[in-house]
Amino acid sequence: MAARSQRIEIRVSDEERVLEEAAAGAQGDTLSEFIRRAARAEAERVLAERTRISVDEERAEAFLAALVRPAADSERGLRRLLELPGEHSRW
Amino acid sequence: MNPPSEPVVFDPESHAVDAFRCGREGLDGRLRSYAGSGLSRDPARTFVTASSDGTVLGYYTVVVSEIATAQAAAPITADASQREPISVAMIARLAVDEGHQGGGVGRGLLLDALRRIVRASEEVAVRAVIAPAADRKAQGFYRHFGFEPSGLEPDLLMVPVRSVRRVVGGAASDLRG
Repeated sequence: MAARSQRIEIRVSDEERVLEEAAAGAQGDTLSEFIRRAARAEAERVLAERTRISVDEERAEAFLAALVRPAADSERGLRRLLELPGEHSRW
Repeated sequence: MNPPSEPVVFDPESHAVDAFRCGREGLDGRLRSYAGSGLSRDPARTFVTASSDGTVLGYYTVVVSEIATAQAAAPITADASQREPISVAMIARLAVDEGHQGGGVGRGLLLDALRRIVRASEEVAVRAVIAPAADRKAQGFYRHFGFEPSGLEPDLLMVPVRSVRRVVGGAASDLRG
């Protein structure tokens, strides 16, 4: 885990604070730890489940180039999926 | 050794997820939130590998995503004369319970995801499979199985569907192969 040097300040209502402290306490977390983890999980979910990925022209071009890149390396990797598990893979 | 079951569509009624821990809380919580809410509202489809008693050992979710350029917010096209937007299948989450990591469950999930995507790509134009690899473990997993940088974002890896179709196939007849 990278060092936590960044600070985020947010304002919440009394009700939200009570709720979040109760939830943090219920699993033995500090309030900051609870909010940090919840925000991270939600951020990862939002980014992972986008139904639209917006990119600038340069990245769009890079993607189009990647789509037609010679496939030998990818296909060598994909063939590992068909080998017996454990043969030479830790997955 | 095969995983305990072929991955199947997640069924909150028969699959037990309370004990599921993969080492990343966001991924654990994601699975439990599916169990509590209606799947139909969710853009992601969820598939699980479960033991015979229904305990979930691993899961993945897939969403179909469209690539758009930021300025125009318009879908990009492979060629200006062709108006088809480029869609990709995103393996949004893929996680294995800590007690079952290293036994081929993740590999079985990825193989199943790719086969389902190839079959879907016969109906819907999907050009690539994209996977977010937020940490080194995920990077290592996807790179091992042929995923490469997508050019879209540093953490998004991809493999073209044509390569997946060629190597892994996806016809219903070879699903058990």
